[in-house]
Amino acid sequence: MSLPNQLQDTFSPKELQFMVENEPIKIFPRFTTRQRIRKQRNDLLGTDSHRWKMMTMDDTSLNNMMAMQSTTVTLWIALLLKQQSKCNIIAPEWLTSKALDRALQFEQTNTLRFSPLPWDWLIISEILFKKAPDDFHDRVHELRSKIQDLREIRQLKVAKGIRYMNESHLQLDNLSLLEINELRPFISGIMDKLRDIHLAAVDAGGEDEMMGEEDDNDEMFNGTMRNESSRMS
Amino acid sequence: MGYYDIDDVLTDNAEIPCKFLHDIPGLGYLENNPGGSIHVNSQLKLPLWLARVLAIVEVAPEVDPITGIASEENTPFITLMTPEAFSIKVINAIKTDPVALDIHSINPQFYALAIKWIGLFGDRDLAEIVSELLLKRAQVINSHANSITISYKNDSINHNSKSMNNQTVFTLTLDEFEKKIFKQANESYKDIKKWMFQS
Amino acid sequence: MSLDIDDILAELDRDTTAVEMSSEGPKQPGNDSMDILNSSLDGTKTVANGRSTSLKPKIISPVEDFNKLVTLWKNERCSPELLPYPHQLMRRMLIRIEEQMEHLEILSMNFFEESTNGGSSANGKRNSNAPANNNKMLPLLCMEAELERVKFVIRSYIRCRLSKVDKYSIYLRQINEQFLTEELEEDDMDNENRISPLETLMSSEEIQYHQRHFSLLLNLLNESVLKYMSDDLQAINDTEGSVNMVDEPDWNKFVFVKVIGPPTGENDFDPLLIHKLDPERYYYSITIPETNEDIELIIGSIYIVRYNLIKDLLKDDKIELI
Repeated sequence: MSLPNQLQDTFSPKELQFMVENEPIKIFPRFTTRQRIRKQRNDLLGTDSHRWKMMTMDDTSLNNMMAMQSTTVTLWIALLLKQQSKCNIIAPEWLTSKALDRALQFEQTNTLRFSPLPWDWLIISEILFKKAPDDFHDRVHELRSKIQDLREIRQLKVAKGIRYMNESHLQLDNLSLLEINELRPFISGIMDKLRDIHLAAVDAGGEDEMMGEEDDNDEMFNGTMRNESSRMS
Repeated sequence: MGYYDIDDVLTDNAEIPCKFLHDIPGLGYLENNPGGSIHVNSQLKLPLWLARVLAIVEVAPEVDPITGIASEENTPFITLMTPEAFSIKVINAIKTDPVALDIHSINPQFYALAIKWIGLFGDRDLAEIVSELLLKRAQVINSHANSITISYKNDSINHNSKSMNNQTVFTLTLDEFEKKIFKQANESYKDIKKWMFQS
Repeated sequence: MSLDIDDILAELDRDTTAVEMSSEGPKQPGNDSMDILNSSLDGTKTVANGRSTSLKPKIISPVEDFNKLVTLWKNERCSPELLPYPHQLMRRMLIRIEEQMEHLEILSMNFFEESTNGGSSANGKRNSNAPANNNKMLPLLCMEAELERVKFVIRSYIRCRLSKVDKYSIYLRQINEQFLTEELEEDDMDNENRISPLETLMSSEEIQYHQRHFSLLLNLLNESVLKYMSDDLQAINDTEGSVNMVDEPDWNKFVFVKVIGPPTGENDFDPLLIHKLDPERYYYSITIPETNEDIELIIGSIYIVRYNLIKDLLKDDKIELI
């Protein structure tokens, strides 16, 4: 098979991580790439080894890094620099003890809604806990347990929300990338089946409606039947 | 669904009780009467794929050999009767406790058969009942699918073997579609857990 | 130093952006496919020449291209049907990859020379000063990593497409046959301008792959089963029977969508977009056919809906699959 079965119609967690790694994040670089006078000729020839020449991102910020001055780069670059001890990653604002407490509170007070955490909150936090644990101001195990609490409270909400599945549609605001992907096979599988059941009844009924008048008569007939029986009781 | 879908083929093999509306010469062997004919009102179980055709195709009006009068209307060979899977007994069981029901023992392709049956008669009531059944059971399937992997908090080995046992008992009561969804959902939850806990 | 020219070109190409028609793929299949036929690899920048009079040319940066590719990859993975192949975009991506590979080769050659020079001159500066060397290596390291990431998306995207070509082999074949018979019936009205649906849907390599796969499949079925059957039982594409033999995409499959809005961001210029107040929202309205139920697809929101109801919005880039 050109695509393994488990990757059809869905993504693997590593693929989700890949997507999220393309998002921007703030870092403190520990080295400087900005050059006062550019060696223009060298630059043009592309032989200047200091120059970042990227094809999937704007490389201006990479070519203008100043040691200990915050700048925004793509996450996977940040992780690579971090691995080489070339930068510190600045944890996003929502990934602090205080902000997570607020989110938890929202989850507890709103039983039917999800707190507006970023689209990639679970993935970003996992990545940063693993690859940049020393860059947090808060204690990582505390943050981790708060993320876990959030995850569990949201999973419970999802479990309760499942009964609203139907043959028509669902709106899933603030459900994040990983949460959607995790639920995908289950929700789409069940809703596809509900749709099949629904359509089986409607399609067969549709033929009745084609007959037009007869159908109307039938309904009137049914109506009188019901009236009679109610009179009788 | 599709031409090569094995579950669809199996569903079409489900036996449906049928009542013959005509005498059919030579078919007596179907009810242990070889050489004889099958008689009006005989009841027989036929596979759905065959029964469906016989219940639709109409027999030419019979002409009474003595009076020469044709019967009033065209009737098909057979009429379909409600199969066991949708009998009042089963429907009541569904309404009482949809979750505890061993659907697999009723029919391993219960939903697929239901969809075909609903489609034959436009039976909206049955559609309603089956949808409700699936929805109720889906909630349990989801929590089971998630439970093996959610055990990381407790003593994982113990918990795992115990829930594994429950799991096997539970999956035995699922119809083939439910089983497939259970497996897919379980895989999905497991993959994410694995990713989160890898170093 | 013959490499200089290439490098300058590479540098220019990276920064100067490709020009193309404001709409790619589905809306202008004709142009797109014609370009494939008419232009060789160096044709990217002159694609819209002479034909851009009626259409506003749009500047597309490499970054936009990459983001678009990632979106297409995600859409392809989540959609039941094979989506149109982005001929132009893919060609630009492949050219950029090739150029970047050449660029990296030169860079690493320079590094090699520098380090051997440094060693032989007994200077010792570079060797003893490892971090500085490391800093110099960083861009190269990242650029190589980036290249691998781009290659990954393209590979995964193509693999996903090929799996659908396998799966819907007979169905795709049927689309094409339908088109060919229609063409015969319609005499020669605009005949030359008509592009076969497969040419919009697939790259020339994919078309070739599809043809080969189909004949292998047919051969297998014939040799193993069909030739032992009577003529009337040999069909593999009977659509008249109670069950269609040809596997089609499940058009009504439930998919997860994010509503984006018009790609230009100009909400008020999208005739399909409805603006309501209280609460203020922009939405697309879709209707469930059998119940006449209207659904509001609000910009920025996430839904699970039937594929069939949103596939036009998807092809206009107004929603994304997630």
